[in-house]
Amino acid sequence: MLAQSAPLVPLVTPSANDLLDLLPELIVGFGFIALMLLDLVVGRQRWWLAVAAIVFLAAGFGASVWGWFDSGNGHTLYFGSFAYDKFSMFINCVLLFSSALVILISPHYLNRRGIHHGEYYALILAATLGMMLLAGAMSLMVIFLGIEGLSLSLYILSGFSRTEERSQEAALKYLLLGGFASGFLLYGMALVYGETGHTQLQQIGAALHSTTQADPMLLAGVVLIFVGFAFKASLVPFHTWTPDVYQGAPTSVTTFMSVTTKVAAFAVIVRVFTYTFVSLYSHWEVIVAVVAIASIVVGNVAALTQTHVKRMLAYSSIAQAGYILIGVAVGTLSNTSSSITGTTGVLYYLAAYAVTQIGAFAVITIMAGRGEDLDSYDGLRGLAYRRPFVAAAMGLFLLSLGGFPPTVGFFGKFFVFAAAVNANLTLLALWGIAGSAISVFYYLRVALLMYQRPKDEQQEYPWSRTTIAGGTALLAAAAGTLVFGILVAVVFNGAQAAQNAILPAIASTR
Amino acid sequence: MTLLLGIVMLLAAISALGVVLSRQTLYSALSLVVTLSMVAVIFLLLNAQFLFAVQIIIYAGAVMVLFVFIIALLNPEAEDRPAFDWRSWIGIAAVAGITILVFVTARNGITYNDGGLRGAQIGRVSDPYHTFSFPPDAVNAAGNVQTVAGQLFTTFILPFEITSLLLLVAAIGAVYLTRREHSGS
Repeated sequence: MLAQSAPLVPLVTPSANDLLDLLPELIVGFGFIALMLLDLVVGRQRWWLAVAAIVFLAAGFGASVWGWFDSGNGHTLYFGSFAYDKFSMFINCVLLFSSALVILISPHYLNRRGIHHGEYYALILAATLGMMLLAGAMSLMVIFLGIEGLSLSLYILSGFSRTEERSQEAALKYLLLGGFASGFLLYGMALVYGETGHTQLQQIGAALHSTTQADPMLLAGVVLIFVGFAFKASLVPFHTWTPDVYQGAPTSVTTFMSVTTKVAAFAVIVRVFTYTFVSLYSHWEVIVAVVAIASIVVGNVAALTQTHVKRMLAYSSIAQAGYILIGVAVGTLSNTSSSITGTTGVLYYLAAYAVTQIGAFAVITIMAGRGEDLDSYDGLRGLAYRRPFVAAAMGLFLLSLGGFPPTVGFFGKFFVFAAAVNANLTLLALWGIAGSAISVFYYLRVALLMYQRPKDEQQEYPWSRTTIAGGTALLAAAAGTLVFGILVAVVFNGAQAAQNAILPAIASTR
Repeated sequence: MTLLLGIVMLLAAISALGVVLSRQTLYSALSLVVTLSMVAVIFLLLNAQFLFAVQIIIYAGAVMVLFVFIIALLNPEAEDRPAFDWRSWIGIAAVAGITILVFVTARNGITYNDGGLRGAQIGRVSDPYHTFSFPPDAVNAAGNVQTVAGQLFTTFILPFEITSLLLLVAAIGAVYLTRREHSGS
């Protein structure tokens, strides 16, 4: 035993090129650590941290754009652990853009709430890094670590207001339920690993293709993995934490997590389910479709009765997740005559949802008062007379969420539903359309309230002034909502290219 | 051998139930010690001696000490102190017996002729599911620790590095959430 023989498996060191291809993640990871150190230098001038964070995010965005053109048909890094493909770069761009907008609206909001600490920016970057890792993850281990990376950061961020009970409650609730969901996810991964003997998605896909039998243990693993992902994407019936956490967390954090978590979660759902478990499609299709319908129904119906914008948007985000899931339920089915596939729809919808939802939450964030969020329906009455531009922007975001043309939200819904119809899942599309019809009611209710004359006895809300940074973020989100709605082809072609280059490629394993 | 593995798994499951069902927190913690030790024993029976040692040192050792410390800090009341009744004696005897049995077996050499409990179904080379690339004998010959380390720092280097970032996030969070507010800052 003591005399050592040669290693059991030849030790292959990863190539240096792999590290270079990981550039976007490296930049954001470096930024995360650098911001912690910068915090010691800047003292009270914490807005410097916001500037630095945006610089890092922009650099990461640039690296992702470069990676988009460089990756070509895509290849894996680190022995199949990570993907370097257009799909992950598309998701990276959406994530980094969203994070940068959130950073823009944060300093003013945090100051007013009295919770302007340097850790905030570092944790936002850490969460973004976790999501980027999730977007490119090609191994069950990296998926789990990515999910934990974003979750840990978000647990802390939800409880960022340490003196406020509601924020602490939100953090604890999220932590406990999130830990539970991670357990499900890990159990599912263990079962899938036990059945296929691999943690790398490509090899799992290949192992599944080479057999026709579907072992119950394997299916249990697949379902448990879906439960873990569905929790992060706040899909019914794993949504119960969503309204409380969204309401309790500081609004800038809510903005961040309502958008980016969903983007990352759907990226990994698409990669794992649509492309890795593709041979098991007939088994998981029904589950995914039922969860999608349940999310649409529950989210929309519950949103009807809300009286606060934050809670309404929380429930509406559940419904939005349901629409996106329709694109996953479509799988890789498509009429050959049509170019609109489920994955393209999902990608377009995610980009659309990101700009719109960030905008809607940003309005609440930048108007927040000292120590409280001023988001009750009654208080919003007559906003248009005091803040015409903010109200117009909010109206635009609500129309986009409701799916009115020519906003980006309309095309998101259109592509997802069209993909469902193409795959002969018309019933699923009809559920989505019915849900959108209900949603118009509560979106327009808020929009109309803003344009009503304020009541005489109505107490004037001490709304915060719009800062230059906040205004910029609103303008960027509004521009995204309108411009990408008019120049649909830009995002659509991007989504299609991303879908065509996604790893693990089905063709090579079949 | 498979029988011994089955007994250990059963014991792990029963003590895991004990973690959930115990009324007193200290009993839960002690049940967790048994669960984690039994998982360690499973590692040993699967020829993963290194993981066995790590599991014992880190989980059954370090982590559980923290658990018990915290319980002791939060529950100083006398009524929550465990009394040694027949249940604890059964638990202790079972753990001691299993551990002795395992060590005796391990000394005599652990041999498997298949890939584990499900080996009959998935362990055959002709089966496409067959992927056991680490046969026990070969692992022992090459060195258990060396094989784990070699894999950790080559094939799984990316997850390994991400874990370090994860720990950093957790450390920042712990410091931030428990830090006292300085007056004036």
